[in-house]
Amino acid sequence: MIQGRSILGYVYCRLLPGVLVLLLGSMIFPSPALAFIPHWAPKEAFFIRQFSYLFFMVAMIFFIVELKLERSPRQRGFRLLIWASVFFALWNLDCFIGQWIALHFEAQVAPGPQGFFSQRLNMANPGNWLNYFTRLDHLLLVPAFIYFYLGIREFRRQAQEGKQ
Amino acid sequence: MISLPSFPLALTDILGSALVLLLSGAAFSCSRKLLRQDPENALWLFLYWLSLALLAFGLSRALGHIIGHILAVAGRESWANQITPYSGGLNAILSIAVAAVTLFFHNIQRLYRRMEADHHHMETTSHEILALNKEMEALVMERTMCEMALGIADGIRNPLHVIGGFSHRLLKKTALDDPTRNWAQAIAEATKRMEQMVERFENLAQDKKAFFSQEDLTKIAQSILEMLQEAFEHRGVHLVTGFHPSPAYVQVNKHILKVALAHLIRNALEATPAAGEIHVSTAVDKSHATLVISDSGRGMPPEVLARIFEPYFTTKVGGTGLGMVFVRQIIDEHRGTINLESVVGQGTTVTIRLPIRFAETPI
Repeated sequence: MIQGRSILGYVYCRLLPGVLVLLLGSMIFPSPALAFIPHWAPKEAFFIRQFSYLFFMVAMIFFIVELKLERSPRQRGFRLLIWASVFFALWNLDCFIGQWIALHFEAQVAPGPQGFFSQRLNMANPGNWLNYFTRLDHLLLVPAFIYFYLGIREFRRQAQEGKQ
Repeated sequence: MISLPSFPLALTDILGSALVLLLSGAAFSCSRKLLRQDPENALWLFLYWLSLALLAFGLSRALGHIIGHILAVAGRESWANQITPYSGGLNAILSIAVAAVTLFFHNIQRLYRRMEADHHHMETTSHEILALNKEMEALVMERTMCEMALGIADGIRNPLHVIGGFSHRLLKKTALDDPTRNWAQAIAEATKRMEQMVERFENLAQDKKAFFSQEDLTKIAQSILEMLQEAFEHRGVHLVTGFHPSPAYVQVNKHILKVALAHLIRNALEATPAAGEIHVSTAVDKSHATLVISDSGRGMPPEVLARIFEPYFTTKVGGTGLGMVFVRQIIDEHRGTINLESVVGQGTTVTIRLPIRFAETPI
């Protein structure tokens, strides 16, 4: 209770005046941008996706390092989680590279029948090949989820054994 | 020009998305069961949130892809194009959510290790307490039996002396040819035999004190100080000793008394800052052997001192509040006394007095 009151006190006494100065300061010293900045550029979405892949990948690498440093891999559950993280990290790398490639080497549909099984894609240069194979990203994502599920199932099995 | 069929891409995407849906759902269900089993387990909580974030991510991604393919097959590619930005935006946010939950693992891991260490510490402490309790029970039983036996022997000896005394007087007053003289003779002999029996019984009861033995209190204190020498050096606390020149023999259970004394000295060590002093001394008077442990530590206020022997009362983080209770019980079982004096900022002095009756100087 005392702690809660002190936090509220801190908010009212220290933070609120600062926030007010920030808000009212822009009225006293107006700048050309008085409201939010519009983000309509399509490339911005592209970069958001790319950063999200990078962030996901870094988090997975961090997770692997953390588990390795803690010597957790002795447990089978953690070992499986490490493999899941490896595949998640690889999947993010694949998507990250795939997005860049797709930006420069868009898949070109070859002339001919356009049915589900008959449609073909031109492989004019190495970029097209890379684009093709990076699009098979589920070959990395599915194993990642399989390992993740097996890891959790292993923890549950161990917990049940421990309970018994 | 080389060309490759596009259907492997679509097929992998559809099948992969369906598998991701299934697996993320199964993983979430499993982690939820795990958390239900033990809601206070930090690791299970982390796995639950990670699997929840991955389920949301898997759902958003897989549904976006599957719906996109269905619409394309149905010839509604414009609808698919409308959905793509929403699905893509949501996927990006959920990717970040998964990453954020994963990065939180560091804190969870630290918390988990701390909990595990605390749990281990508690388990060890409770095992020690249990073992000590068993020994104390055996000690109390043994001592009670000895005291009862000695009490009975003492009670029988007094009337026997009376009977023996009167039978001898009767023998002296009875004429040699008196037929009752034989009766008085029989009474005197029987009384003597009974006295011998009582004496043997008494000796047996005294020898039966398996849990108690005659020990030198100074040597016990010295052995504990030797054991804790490293702790003294580590904390930079000076030890000052002042032991009685002759042995301070007392009837004690060496092992149990050592537990109590080690606890008191450890407490003194914890309370004393670096470069502080701890004095340990022994003294002997007519009826008691005394051990004094005094430190120059932070001391205790009177309200803490008044509650020091209360069960579960502790000022230490992670303490059980049973240490001093056991110390007092151990001293009580040795028919001794323990006295604490403390001044805040000056230190604490613990005085233990143990009776030396029944204690004999070894030949």
